[in-house]
Amino acid sequence: MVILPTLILLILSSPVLEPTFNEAVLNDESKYYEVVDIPTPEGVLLEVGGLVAGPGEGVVYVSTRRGDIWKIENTYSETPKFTLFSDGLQEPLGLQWHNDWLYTVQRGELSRLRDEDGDGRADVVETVCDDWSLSGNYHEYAFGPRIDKEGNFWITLNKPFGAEPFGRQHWRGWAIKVEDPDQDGFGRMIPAAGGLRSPAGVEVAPWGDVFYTDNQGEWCGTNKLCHIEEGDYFGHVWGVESAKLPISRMKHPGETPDGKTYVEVREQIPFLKLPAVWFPYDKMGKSAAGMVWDTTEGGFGPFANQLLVTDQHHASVMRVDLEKVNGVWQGAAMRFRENLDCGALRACWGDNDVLLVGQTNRGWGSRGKKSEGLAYLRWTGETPPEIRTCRVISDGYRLSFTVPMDRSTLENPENYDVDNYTYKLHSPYGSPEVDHKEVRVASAVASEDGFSVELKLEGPGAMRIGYVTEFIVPNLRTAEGQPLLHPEVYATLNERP
Amino acid sequence: MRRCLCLSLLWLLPWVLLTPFTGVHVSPLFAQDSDLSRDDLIRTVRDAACMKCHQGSGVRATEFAAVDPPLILRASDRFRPEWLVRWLTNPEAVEPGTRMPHALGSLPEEEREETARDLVHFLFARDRINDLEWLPEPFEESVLEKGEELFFSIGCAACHDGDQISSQMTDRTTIPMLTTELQNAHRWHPSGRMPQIPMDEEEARALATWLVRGQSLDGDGNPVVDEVQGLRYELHHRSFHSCDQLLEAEPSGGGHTTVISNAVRPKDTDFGIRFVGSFEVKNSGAYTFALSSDDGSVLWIDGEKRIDNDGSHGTVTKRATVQLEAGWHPIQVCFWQGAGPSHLDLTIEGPGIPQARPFKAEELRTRSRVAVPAEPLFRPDPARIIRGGSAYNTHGCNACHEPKALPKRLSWSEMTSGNPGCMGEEAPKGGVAYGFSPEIQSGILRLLTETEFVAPEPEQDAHWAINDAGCLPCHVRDGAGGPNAEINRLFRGTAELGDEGRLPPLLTGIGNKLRPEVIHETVAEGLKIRPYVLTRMPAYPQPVAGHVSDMLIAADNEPPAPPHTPEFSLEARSAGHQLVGTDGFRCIDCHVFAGQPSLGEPAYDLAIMAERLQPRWFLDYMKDPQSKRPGTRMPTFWFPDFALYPDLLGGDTDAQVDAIWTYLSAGSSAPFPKGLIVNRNDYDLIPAAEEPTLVGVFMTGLSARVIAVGYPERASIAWDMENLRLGKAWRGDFINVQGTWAGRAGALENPAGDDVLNFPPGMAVGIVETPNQTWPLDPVRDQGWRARGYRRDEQRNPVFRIQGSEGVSVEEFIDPVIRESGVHLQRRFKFSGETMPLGLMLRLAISDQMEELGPRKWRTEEGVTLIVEGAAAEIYEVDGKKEIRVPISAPGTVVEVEVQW
Repeated sequence: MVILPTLILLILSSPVLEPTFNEAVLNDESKYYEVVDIPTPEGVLLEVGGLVAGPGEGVVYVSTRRGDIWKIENTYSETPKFTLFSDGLQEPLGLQWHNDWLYTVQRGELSRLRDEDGDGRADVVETVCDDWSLSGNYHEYAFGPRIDKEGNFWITLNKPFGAEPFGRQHWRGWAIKVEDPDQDGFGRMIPAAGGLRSPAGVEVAPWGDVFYTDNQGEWCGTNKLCHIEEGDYFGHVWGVESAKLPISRMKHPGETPDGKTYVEVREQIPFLKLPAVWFPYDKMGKSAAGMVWDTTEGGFGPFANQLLVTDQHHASVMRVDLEKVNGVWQGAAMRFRENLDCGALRACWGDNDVLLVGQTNRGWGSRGKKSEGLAYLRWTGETPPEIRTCRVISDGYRLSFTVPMDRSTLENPENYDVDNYTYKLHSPYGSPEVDHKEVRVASAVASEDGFSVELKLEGPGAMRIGYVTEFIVPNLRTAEGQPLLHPEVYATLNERP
Repeated sequence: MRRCLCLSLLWLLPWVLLTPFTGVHVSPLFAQDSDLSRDDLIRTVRDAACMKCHQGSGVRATEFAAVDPPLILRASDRFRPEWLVRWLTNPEAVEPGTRMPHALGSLPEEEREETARDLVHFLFARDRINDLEWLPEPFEESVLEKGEELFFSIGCAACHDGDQISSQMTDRTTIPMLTTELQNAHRWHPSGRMPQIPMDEEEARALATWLVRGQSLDGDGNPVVDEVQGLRYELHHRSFHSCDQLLEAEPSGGGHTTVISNAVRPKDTDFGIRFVGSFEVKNSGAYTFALSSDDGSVLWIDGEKRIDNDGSHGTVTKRATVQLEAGWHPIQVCFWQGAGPSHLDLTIEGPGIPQARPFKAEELRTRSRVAVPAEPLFRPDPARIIRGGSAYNTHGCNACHEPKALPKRLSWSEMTSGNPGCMGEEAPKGGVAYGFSPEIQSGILRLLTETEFVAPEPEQDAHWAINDAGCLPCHVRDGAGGPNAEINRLFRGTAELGDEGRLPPLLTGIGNKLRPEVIHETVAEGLKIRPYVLTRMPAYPQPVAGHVSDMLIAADNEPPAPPHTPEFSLEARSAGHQLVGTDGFRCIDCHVFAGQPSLGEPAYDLAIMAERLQPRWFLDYMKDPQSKRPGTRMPTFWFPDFALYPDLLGGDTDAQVDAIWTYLSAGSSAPFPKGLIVNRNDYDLIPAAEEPTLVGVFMTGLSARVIAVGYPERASIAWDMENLRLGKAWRGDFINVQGTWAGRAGALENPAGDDVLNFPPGMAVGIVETPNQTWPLDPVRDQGWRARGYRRDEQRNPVFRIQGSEGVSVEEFIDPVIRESGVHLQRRFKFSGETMPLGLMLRLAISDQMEELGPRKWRTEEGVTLIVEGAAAEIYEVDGKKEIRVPISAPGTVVEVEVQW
């Protein structure tokens, strides 16, 4: 086993943790979820930007940051076959099948490709929509496309970062949708929501809502998962002037105050959308990217219907349990599977309920010993001892677990180290956790079966709207006396029931 | 005193073997043979620089003129004062055999050194030198080995004896002075006596360090190590993930610096630096250090890690406060950079340093090997300067050295045998004594007063020229020159190619082998096309380079060779293509092609032959290589009664050689020969033989949405998706996409090849109200056009598609076509739709002048030829310029246009 240098530093600089304990955690993760690398032939560089399985058994299409799309057959065998489906694309960072066309979004256009003679190579690359423009900055990535229930293609557009050789352009830092192109192959752009920064993942939930992930930086306090609806503003000021153009579905937010918390700003700009989930920086990754709902109905383990989010820097997959309260989405973030070989940018379901993970760290660096690649996670069938869900109740939270727990550890309030904090919306790069206030577990009542516990919280920091409640629980034990695999959860509160 | 011209047994070698640098070029025949030839006498007159003082005129003056000496303005940049005093006191004693006359020879011996010292003060004052202090120069021990390696491989040793020159340089100069001199030879040697061997600063410094290494040894020959200001640093030419990883890696190179920053970085991305040494604080107390870096860095003080700013990140500053005693403390800083911009700085703040600032040079020190010039402080003395100025004129320094003045000496016509003057044993006042024998004296007088001037043969001129320029220590011409046995061993290269793989090429017949402009360029710029020969061709200053080239060209074209021009045909080109590859004579077994390695030895690049060689020489050489290069390993492929490829061009030898020439004439844009294994690095894209390679990039001058297409025929285009137009075309190499594929990327890319053709601005299709209306250049969307993408045809060439507002759609096919001058492009426009909008036109070219070459065939002022087929193209006058336009009215119209450039 290779131990990562960063992890060694972490271990050495952290006197409370015994190195052997951490190694044990690494071993434990692979006991439940095994990582399998997909071998690539010489000359094929899979800096994965987009990933889609099928059609057909063993088939996966991968788009790369270099601009290729590879068709992989016999993906899960020891000798997968690679065919260059297309080259010449500009940073295609997502793939999606729709009506026999393979859709991808390049920096400057939504495109669709088709192999007309069945030789495994694309014969047509059609421009579906190029209603947005590029200034020529490296950071002008486009993510998506994802199709919603009405047939719109959702795309999120990065803002530039630095020089703009061809001049400043509209719609940077926006979520757009492109109307269904099935009529004549052209789709019209609808700029739906603004104020995004580096929205590296966009996904349509199985029930139809659209979510995106954003990356910490200026005007983005930490990484976050947001529910997008038309008209939403997410707080980044870069592209708000585009809101004055008639096709914008977002109103111009006026001047965004620099340095207040998000909840405070929302009082002034009511359509500022609070994140459904904050990912506290470094505790829950450093660069949230692609995501996928667990639609395997148990085939991938005990987390059915939850959301899995990849993290580029931490080379990890995180887990999010979402709930809708008073019509608003919120949720809790947990670690799920770490120590992949390279930064994880994309994930999608492959055959037999394996989770394909597309990897690249070029330009940003990541944990792990590789610079790019394609791997998959397979559930070994063994149930990991984890917090399964974390849901709000009137004056606290109910945690549920994947395995029956030792009720005495569950019911000891001392076993819950709780914190409560939020983030600033401001121009400097990232926000520290601000406005920490004390929270205590007043009472902890476990269910008879030991599968859940209800925590009543008290103290000045308890149950604040727009804040993160952090639970650190290393002392909880399963009925068999084991600690939890990942003994912490970060719950974002937007609404109380 | 009689000057001995015969200094050692060395002089008994044929004169051509003598290097021009080690001494006077006087034939040994002089001293012993009274039957002097005219050439010997001319050589004596040139080497003694007689014409510098005694006037001549016309051709004779040129023929007898000496090679100019080094400039001595800025002598202070080359010489240390004490050495210069010794030199001027008696040049012969410092450098036996020098051409420098003993200018102070007419002075009493005891006055010479004083006068020399006066001269030095004068020369240094002229350079505006004030006090000069001579500081120890730190260096990395490892550069000595590199310097020695360079000295004996790049060509220095062909002219200089390693031991002699080292001992000279140890006394004469310093590492920094010599580093500059080695890189700027022409600044002091306008005659090309010391030509410029191409080298970078690091190499020059390594050479200089090795040459003056005597300064870094103490009296017992032990290395001198001392404390010096600043820190040592080690460089790594790769990326890291952490400083721990860097500490375990083996450094490649390093040096000394007084600044802790990324200024010493070996490149802009993917590198690491470790700084090590000590720093001093004057007061005890708490000091705050701020370490700022992009990407990772770590600071150690007194062996303890104090700031950990490691990791891949933008500029991040981390601080630590450390309690320090007054005095010196060991420090180590590690820093590494992956992709993107880099930054490093370290500041200190504390007692006595109220404001955070970087370390000052004097606060840093390290132990290092040093070179110590043993030289007292030099302080200009006004009295000496004045006396020196006068001595400069009195002793005739200004006859040869700047500012030049022609001393009042007898002109040739006034001289008689009764008065030998400076030719005799006694130096006339303020002059020099050459001590020529009576035979030479009278011979010289006879030569200089001869009434009938004999113009030299061109070959004789050529020989003088290459001898003066110092070509012959390395090169052989007509059996003369070349290194002697001892020097010969020093020439190194690739063993597989034998002597051809290590020795500089023959100069015999060079004037009709290479094209004249190539000879000029080679001599003037030090061009070297055989990378495997380690010796570097030096560059010569003008007008020397031009003179040498002209003389060689004149000598080898007397009488002129009959011209030869191979005829182009597609059949010939295709046969040539085959013959060069593995289905033919397999030239690529040994020869590099367009920078791509051969299958075996790395001989001369095939793709540059046609631009360098003359076709007549190529034909003769290919038919009989041994006739041009005796002993060459180049095989013979054609035999009088037998053709290896009888089916190609009827098996005709001349036709096959010419076919190869035709194929090679496309240079590096010729399609690769079959069998070549193309060396793909990560970022130089090379299209495969079967289909074009496409890559999406930002491109300078076009837009941020460009599809670059590299065709197997070695033509490339850039299609601008934003502006829906063919933007550029070029030949040869396709594109380097490091700016798109490395790190965060986002750089604007450019064509990698040659002959970049920029197409007229705007789309090729447009709608106008009148045929000669100004071409619409509004954004394509505003004109009603939009991108429809592209499809791939049977060759997988992209066919670009655009769609107009009235149901019209246009497909543009772009295919490479082969013509005599190389690869060109054919554009084909196909219009479809129910009806064509009124005023639909194609615009194909715009220029101030269009020369009509035939029906629907024009050439622009810029030299682009357009041949239009399929529709009525015409020249329209638009806004004072001429434009080729084609009205389009019928659905289904196809317009073909061949673009040659």
